[in-house]
Amino acid sequence: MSQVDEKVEDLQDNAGDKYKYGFVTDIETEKAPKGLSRETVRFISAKKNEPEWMLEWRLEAFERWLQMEEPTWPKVTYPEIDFQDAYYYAAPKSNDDRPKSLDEVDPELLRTYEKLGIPLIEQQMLAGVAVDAVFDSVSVVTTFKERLAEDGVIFCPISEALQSHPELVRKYLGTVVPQSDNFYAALNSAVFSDGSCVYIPKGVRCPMELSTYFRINEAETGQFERTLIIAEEGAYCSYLEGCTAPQRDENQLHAAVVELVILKDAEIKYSTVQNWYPGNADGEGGIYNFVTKRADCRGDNAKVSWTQVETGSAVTWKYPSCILRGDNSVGEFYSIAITNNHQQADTGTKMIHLGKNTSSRIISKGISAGKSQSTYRGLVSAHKRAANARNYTQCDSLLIGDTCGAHTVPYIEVNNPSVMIEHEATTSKISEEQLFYTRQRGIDEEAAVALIVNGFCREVMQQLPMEFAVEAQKLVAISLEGSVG
Amino acid sequence: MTLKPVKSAPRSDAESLYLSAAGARADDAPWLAALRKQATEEFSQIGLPHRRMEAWKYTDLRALDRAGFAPAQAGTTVVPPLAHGVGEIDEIVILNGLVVEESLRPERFSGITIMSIRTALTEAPQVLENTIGAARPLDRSSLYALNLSLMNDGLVLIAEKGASHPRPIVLRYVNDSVEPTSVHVRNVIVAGEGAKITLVENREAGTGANFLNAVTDLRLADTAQVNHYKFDQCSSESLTVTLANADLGAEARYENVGLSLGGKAARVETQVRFSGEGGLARLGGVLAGEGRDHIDHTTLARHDVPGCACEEEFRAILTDQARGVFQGQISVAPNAQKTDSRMLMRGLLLSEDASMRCKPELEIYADDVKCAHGTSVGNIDDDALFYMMSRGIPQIEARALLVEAFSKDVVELITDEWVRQQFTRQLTDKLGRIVGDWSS
Repeated sequence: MSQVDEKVEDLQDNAGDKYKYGFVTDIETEKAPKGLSRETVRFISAKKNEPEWMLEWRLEAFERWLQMEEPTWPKVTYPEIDFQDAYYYAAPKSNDDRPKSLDEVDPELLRTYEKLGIPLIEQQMLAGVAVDAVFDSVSVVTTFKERLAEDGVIFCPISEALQSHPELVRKYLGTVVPQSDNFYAALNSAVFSDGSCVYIPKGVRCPMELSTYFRINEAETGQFERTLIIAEEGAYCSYLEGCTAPQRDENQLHAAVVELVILKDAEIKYSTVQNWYPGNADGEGGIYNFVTKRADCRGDNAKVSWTQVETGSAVTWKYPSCILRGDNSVGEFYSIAITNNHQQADTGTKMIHLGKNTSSRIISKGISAGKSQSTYRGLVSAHKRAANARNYTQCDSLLIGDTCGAHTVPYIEVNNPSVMIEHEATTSKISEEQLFYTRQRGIDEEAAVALIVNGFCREVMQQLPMEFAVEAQKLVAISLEGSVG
Repeated sequence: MTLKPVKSAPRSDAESLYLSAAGARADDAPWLAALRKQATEEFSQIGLPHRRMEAWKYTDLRALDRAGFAPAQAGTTVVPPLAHGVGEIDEIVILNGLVVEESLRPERFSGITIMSIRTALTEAPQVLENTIGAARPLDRSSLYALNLSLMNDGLVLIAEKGASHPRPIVLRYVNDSVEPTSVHVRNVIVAGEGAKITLVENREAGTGANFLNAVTDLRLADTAQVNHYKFDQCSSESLTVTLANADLGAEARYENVGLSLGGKAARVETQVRFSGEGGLARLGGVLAGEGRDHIDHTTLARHDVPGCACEEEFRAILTDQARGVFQGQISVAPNAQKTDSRMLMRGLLLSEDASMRCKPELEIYADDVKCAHGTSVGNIDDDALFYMMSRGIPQIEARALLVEAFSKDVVELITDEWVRQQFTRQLTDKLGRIVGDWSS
């Protein structure tokens, strides 16, 4: 019942239909000139003091991007994006002098985190989570570095990694998601500002959960994060990503790229809670979230697990994928996508079976309410060499109200006779009996819906790390606010 | 930002060939001439469907048909009746795309008018304008446009209110050209209130390589029942693309089951629109491919009104380098509550090089619906094989039995006795070859 109590609190917090995290921190930022051109790319690269090869890599991506077309196949509609009418770089001004500790951090920033409910110090002490907090595009503070360094783990902003470990970045960057992979990945490759870089050495089990909070702050700034995680042979790491964004009326573009490299016997668990501003009840404003996430299981027995709770953004376009290259490698995808009001989500996964005895599991729960549209789009592909590959896919949709839509678009491609692929999909609604039963016991309708939906999502919730599970349950309740009655 | 010009491939030989044959026909009514002109324009802009079009993602006709097939000339062969059908069916022959008028025998029908499109253009133009002129396919491909642009003939069948025809009406597509030729046929089937008919489209392999592009419009009035079956015998150099475009009134019943036995590319597309409450559609198909066959069954069921049901049951049995494609879409409009739909596709791959592509899609805008789909692709169950062999059934027979049993759910959808027999016979022949090849 705890989530119900929390929900009541949240409802009070949310009185007046305000986005809980809707505020803008007023800090001077340094911006690149508006618009996108070779000069913008050069500006960003110069700002970051990047090596020559990096600039060339970015420019190459930019050239490719110019040749590409914006994808139109997702089941989402939004006004045409004017890529020349946005800023591609914004960094907090205090960047030149990087703070060594929290005391040196701009107090305005710290207050922002407080409002977000991320008390950095407390979190460090209580939860043992190392936080690489990204404020707009520059990582401001990185904690627990010493502890991680003991084990040889590298966990730093990618811009820093480009200075301190350029060869590492050069070796892996773009090897999972090439520059010209898709329209938004190409855009990201050209103008990405920052993100995290994680390297877990051979045989090391990362001693703590690694976490990054992204936050889009500067108005009209596209956020282009680039995350690169490498797990060497036998390594393990769990990575958490969560986001909130301030309220504003203009749509903002977010095009991130996440690359995971998993070598022999290694494992990466990647969890996301995404709660960006979804626009108001009339569908105005909100974030456009076009993300390319991909994991490459390069060695035998490698394992990757994606868990995502998608509740925010006006438009979501996201397909965390697993390339199961090594024999016996395992890919998992657990997803909850909740859309309300005018939100649109087209999300799912790709499981590419290349190695022998590879297996994958997809559990997707889509919940649509209000006038929203939620689509599961997934590919399961077994190549010729993928003998004995196994896949199990389950995608369930829950509709709340009769003005929303829930869609399922699975693609299944099988090129080997020993492969076994199973796919199941169902669509349902919250039954009158369930609602009646809970209400009879004194639970109001909204709380009952939150309770039932949390139950519907349980299989995915269980996959979330402790820190996220609580927040995710709250998010489910908040997201569905006002969807019944 | 308009930085990106849309890339369009240069026109292929095939596309040029089809366009050179397009143009108005002398006996076209003004509405048809206008439709043709528009369709030709459309085809000239889009060209043959290719893999960058979502609906043709897995059947790249532009790659499969590079050289093109010249439109067929009138045939001369006297087509002998089907061996298994004498007395039990009514045959209508379409030779090289033109209805053989002698094969239309109106005296065998009561309450049903049959004629060729050519005749209808002068004798019943209104019917054509109300059907072809008003057709709104759920997914209009450039091949549909090509059909509109090039079609010369086809069958018009109008069943009056309450008419019921006792025998299957078998529409035979026969081709006697030696050169590679294409045939573009348009059929119009109108079933009045409570009418009952059984229509079989029998695509025969023909002599040379050929391309059949057939569109059949079906209008089912309230409580009408149309059983529609398709048999495709397509040679390995030939292409078949057939589209059934059915519109169902209240409590209408539409059954569509196809048997595809191969071809360089065989695409069987069924589009069903539910326009009246209580409609029922049962769609099924067996894709049996060997060699380098490419077989594609695509369905689109669109629920525009509440309370309709759609059942889909498909099986693919593939060996050698055969490729199977199944795309099924069930779409439920916002007010189409109480929709009950299910779709099941199962594929059996019997060789190292056979492959299967599936895309079972649900698009749902109403909350009180039951929609489910299931897909599985794999090999013969070893446990089942072992079980049968342990009881003394030789391995080859056990395999044959299992493969045959695999397609049984589809065969059982067929209500017409004659059709079911033909279906079983043709499928068994084909499976005998497939399983035989596979065991050697």
